[in-house]
Amino acid sequence: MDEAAAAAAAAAAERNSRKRKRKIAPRVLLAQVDESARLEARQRRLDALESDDVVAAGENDDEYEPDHASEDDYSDDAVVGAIVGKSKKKSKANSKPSKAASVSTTQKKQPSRQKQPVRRAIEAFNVPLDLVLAEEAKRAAVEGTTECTYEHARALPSRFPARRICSVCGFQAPYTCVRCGSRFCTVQCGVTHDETRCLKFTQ
Amino acid sequence: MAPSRDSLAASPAATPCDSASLSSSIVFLDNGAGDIKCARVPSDHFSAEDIREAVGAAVRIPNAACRPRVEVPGVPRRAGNVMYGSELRSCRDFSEMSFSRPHQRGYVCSWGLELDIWSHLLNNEQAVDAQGTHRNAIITTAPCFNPGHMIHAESELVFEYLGFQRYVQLTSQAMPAFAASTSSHACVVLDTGFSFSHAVPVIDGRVIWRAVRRLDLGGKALTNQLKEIISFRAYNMMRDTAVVNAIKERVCRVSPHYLAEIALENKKPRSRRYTPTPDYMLPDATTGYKDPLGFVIDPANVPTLDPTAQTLALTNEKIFIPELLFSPSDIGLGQAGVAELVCQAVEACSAHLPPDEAMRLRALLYGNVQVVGGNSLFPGFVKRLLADMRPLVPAEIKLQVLRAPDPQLAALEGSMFFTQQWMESGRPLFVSKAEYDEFGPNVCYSRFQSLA
Repeated sequence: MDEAAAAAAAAAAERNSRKRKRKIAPRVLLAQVDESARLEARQRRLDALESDDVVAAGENDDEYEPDHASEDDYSDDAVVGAIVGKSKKKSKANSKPSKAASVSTTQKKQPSRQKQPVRRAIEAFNVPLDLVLAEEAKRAAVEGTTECTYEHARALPSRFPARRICSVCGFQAPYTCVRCGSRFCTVQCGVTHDETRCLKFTQ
Repeated sequence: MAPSRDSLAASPAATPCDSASLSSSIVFLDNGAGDIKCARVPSDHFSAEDIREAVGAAVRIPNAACRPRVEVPGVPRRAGNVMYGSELRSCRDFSEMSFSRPHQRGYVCSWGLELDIWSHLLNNEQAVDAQGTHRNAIITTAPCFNPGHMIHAESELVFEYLGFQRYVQLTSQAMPAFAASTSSHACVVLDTGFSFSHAVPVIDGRVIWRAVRRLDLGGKALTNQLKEIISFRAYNMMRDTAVVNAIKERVCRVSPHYLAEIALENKKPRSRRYTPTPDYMLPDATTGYKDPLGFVIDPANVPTLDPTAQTLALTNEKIFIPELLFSPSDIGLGQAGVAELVCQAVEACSAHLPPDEAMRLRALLYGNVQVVGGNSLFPGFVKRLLADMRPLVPAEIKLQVLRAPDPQLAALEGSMFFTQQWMESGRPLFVSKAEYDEFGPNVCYSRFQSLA
């Protein structure tokens, strides 16, 4: 009896599950995206909020390249002296083979050489923040101070569930986008969301 | 409380490398990611009076190389057409101005650019005026957990490029705890700035590092979000960062009950929901308003406005933008809002203590929450913070949230008081050029670790 009942229940469950599977529209199944892709899209959007509004290279004119010689005086440091000295020596060495060639090289290279030393030495420190923080985390792990690091200080998630706010208009939103999981409040906002935001991110 | 100058000058601990022949002014530079706040005190031995004077005369310039769309007359010609600091005052057209910022998520990552900005500041700003004087001492600030790499870079910049003799770097988020308005022994500083918001518990002048909490949301993200919303709903202002930032600062406010307020708005028919009353007059280069960033429209003046002028009507984004600080989950950021951030920091402080001591510590900290940073200037911020924190804090604890008189200068002022106290106590503060030459940047790192 029991076995028969169990078998019947299993059959019913299988039928139910098959039934449920069939109920999902293929359109929706196709549209669904796994959690990692959703997270990634959200993260990209958040990263975009941190970006500076800098005119893209080549759009206005050349890259940001201030000239130092004209304006600000830096203290006479050894680095500048050493490298400028070197460039002079090189130009002298170049001047031996032919005069024309030397003139062209010195004229072309000197302005850039004048600029380089000041920028180069300090700009060696321009390392992406991620790398610096990773290094710092490694150091903290060695020293046993992982409680006092950038990573550890990050705020924990809220104790309360996330509010349901329309990602398009900011009003309360009863509906969830099946594809990306963000909220929208009306059909109009849903259409806007699909067109411009769903799993996309701004600039 | 300031001792007489003679007694201090006689104390041997004041500064080993100081000599009477050098001009002995100290430059204080609060190196915020949004704005640099900079001031100077005349000598090592300064009084509270000097501090008040210096803070009153402090320079506040954007920490950026700004590139206007069209060249501005009177600005020295530089490659890339960039301008710095006070030169912006002569600029009449902020539309499509681009800002190259040395900071990335709150930490300096572009040192060449930072060098340009600082040297322009030190050479050209009247109130700082470190050009003629001998560059004696500089005190800078950096955010919590400033990596050793950044300290290395900054020490090199200060000693080798700018030519200062003494240097120290303080933690900007801890400094407001030392400002004049903060009198208690224990407080939590909530610094909600340009790149992020920090809750930093400070007890007896020491930061509890393991309890510091950070929300990765600040004024820059809010401006960018507003820019996106306006571009989507009204005009394309994706490149008008300066104008949108001004709109954010002048029009946005914190709603006391966000959900209730938008629910009320939501009940109106859709056509009436977006009220046609204009809030903000966008800048207009041809007619030349007084303010090149535009201005807020007084509702009484609406009928008198030129109908052809470009105005901007804001609806719920007025309250939605500051709301993100209290509920970052609204844009999918999985971190607690500022109210919970403070609570997390306090709980982390008292986590390892026996229950009665923990309760006492909590009472001390919750009784003195200091709010600083530019975002706290949104109208209604403090009230809302108090309202949001109240249900999270045990009922028997008295909760007090105070905003510094000038939230943006609190760190600068605090760093002056900190310096004064520290030097009075006779402990070593500055790293001198001689020490740097002898031991390299590591000496800076270990000294700064010992400070806060």
